[in-house]
Amino acid sequence: MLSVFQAVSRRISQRMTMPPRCQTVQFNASTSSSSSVNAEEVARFAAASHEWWNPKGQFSVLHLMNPVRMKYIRDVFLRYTPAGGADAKVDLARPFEGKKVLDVGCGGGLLCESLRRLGASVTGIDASSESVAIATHHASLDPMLKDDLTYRSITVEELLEEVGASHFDMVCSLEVIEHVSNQDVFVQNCMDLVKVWLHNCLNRSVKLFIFQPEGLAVFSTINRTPTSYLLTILLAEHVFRWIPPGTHDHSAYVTPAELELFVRAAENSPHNPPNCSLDIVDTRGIAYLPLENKWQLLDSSTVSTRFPLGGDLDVNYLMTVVKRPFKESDTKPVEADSKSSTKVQQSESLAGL
Amino acid sequence: MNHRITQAFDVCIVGGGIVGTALAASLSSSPFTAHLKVALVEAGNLYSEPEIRPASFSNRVASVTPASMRLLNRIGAWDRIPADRKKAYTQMKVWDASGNGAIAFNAPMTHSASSIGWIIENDWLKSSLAQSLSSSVTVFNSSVVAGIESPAGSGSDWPVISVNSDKGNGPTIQLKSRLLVGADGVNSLVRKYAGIESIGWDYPQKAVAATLEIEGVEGNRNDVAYQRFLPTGPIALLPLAENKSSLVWSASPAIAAKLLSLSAEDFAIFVDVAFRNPIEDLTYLLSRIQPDGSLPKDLDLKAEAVWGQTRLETANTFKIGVPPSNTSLPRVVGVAEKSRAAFPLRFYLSDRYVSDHRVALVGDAAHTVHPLAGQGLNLGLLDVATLTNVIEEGVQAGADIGNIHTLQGYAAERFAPNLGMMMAIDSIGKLFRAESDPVVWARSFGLNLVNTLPGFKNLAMKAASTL
Repeated sequence: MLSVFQAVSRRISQRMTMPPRCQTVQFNASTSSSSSVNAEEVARFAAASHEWWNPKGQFSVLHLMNPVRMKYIRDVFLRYTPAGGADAKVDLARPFEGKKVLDVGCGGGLLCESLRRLGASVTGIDASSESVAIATHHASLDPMLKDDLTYRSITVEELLEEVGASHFDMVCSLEVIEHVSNQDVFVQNCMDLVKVWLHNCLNRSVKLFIFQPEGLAVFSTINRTPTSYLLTILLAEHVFRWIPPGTHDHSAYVTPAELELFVRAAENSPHNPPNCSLDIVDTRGIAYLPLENKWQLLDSSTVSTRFPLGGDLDVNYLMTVVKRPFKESDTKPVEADSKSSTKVQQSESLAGL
Repeated sequence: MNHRITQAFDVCIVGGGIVGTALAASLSSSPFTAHLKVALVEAGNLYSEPEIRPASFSNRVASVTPASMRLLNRIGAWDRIPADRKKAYTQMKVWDASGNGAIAFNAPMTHSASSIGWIIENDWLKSSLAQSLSSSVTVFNSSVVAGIESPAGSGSDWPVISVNSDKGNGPTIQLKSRLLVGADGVNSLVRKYAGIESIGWDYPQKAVAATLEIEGVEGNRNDVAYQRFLPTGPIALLPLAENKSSLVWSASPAIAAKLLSLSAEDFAIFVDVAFRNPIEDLTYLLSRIQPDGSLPKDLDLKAEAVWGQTRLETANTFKIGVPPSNTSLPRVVGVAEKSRAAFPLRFYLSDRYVSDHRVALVGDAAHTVHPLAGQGLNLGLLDVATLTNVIEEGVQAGADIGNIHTLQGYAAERFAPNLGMMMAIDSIGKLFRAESDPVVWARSFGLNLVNTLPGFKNLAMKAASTL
């Protein structure tokens, strides 16, 4: 009996070996005034880049978060893009097959690899060339990732200039906005890169019955609330040291209302067709449960029982924005479940204010 | 020889026993994992033909719980087992030979299943699963694993498995795999590769198995499983067909050797004595067995047995060693030829089920358990169901399914329940081997208490069958 417990405790104390340190590449991020890149932040992530794939390292919380946010992305993608829909035949194992997806601020490539495995043709960009080097090296270790996964050390502004607007079926930028300068410019550049097709506007009278090409963007960040200060800075950085102190700057956190304002402003981007609409179709809290050592997507019912500290969007949250070639008010939403339609209504009423 | 080819797989399963083959079939039948390239390496012959003659049953059988049945059904293996090769049992009668504890379980008390379980020959389980494999599974049949190593220098951490085909005489093939699953039993090579330690012990016991001819079963249906706890270990009679049952008799190696040396006729009487007579009769009669398996001329075995049985039924105020009420035990009339064999009993537990070497262990490689409650195989099939689930989840999240973060979900879900079940089985075994009066009294009281309180019995039943 005793030996069983010894074995169990040995299991717990088992240390993981660190991945080999990769050759680093000279850091040369753009620092032009219009850029959203925050040089200080980039340097900090560059210094920690060798840690990206250490499952027990400082990014372990992200490793744990990854499957949960991936499932979220998969769900919203299947619900809001023409590829999905109730009657569409989706390859369950590769639902993103043939779709062009961009990950802005890809870091070590945690999200990009997952997106690629689900079939997407993935571009990951990061201002830190060290992170890009790590991501490229790590992907090269998996023979199933050798095609259609490209990493580039480039800013979102530079990419927009290079490939032009309306290029990707989906743009993801997760846990990044709180680390960039000029957050409004950043959101607009991301949204500009999402596909929208003009020819659909010519068919306004029948558009409900025809294929509706549209893209979406998924953002995630941390809300600026007392709760988020308590959890993500005081407890996570200083008390429990899950992540290194100084990782987060509370004043750079973004409230859902602010993110919504950035999205609204991005609607008027010169790159967009005249009637283009950016609809926030879902805003969802996601919380780390330290006792279970896992992340969980929240809805209002789980919040009231399990998270007495505040609302479901008080700390980490995800937001999905669908880019449509026409105003949402022209027609009804394609289809949405009860939870997300309440969010749609909320966002509409906010927009009406 | 030594012509090396390297093939890449998503999942490489070492060991094509019931659990390993079930995992391969389960992955190949799920819409989320059917695209994965799966390799199944089996040292023996995966496609050996099971016995179909109605008169002949193998002595290696398993009790399949409703939960395991659901997995086999989902995989498509269940319907491949002929109806007369999966014997449902709807009642289980358990009693104590040296106390008066007795308990009867009935299937209708459980919430959903119509049977407590099914007794199925291992050969049929294996072959039905092998037939269920789809083309996404590459089978390396009659192939021996020569070695497993992590590749040096390349930066990749995918394990490389060297496989010698044709029972080790053929060319060597190298397989590299994203996930390596050890389904290779108690002496798992995969476990050694992953540096996972296994702790445990061999019980000072062996299980004597045999296929028995019986008559006089309750209601002529033979759908009752009987188990009597003897101080030397449990003896169980599991229904196989209308007039056939499978015997699993756990006893010390010395007793097991004596039982194997007996003539078929005498062995049948000893089984009857073990189920029907006061425990002293069995102890006495065992002591009279000669080294060559014969019995002394002055001993009339049959008469001794009958005398003891009447004594148990009549002059026994405290109902010591008597089965639950309304039990009419079938009588053993014969032993199938060459069906008697003894197997070692072990308790082994791996200290982890997964490792960051891209390894997961299932079945006996992860945990080897005393077959007391027939739970060894069922625990393994639950491993398969859980690991399939975890891989499905991983695939949906685009995860690297060999990554420790993905596999952790499997270990988290299986380790504690398996440990709990194994500890329970181990302590039940120890409890019933005890002969001191307080222990006997307490366990008799416990069994009778459980038997009279329907709520308790339902709980115990649910725990045993939903497992």
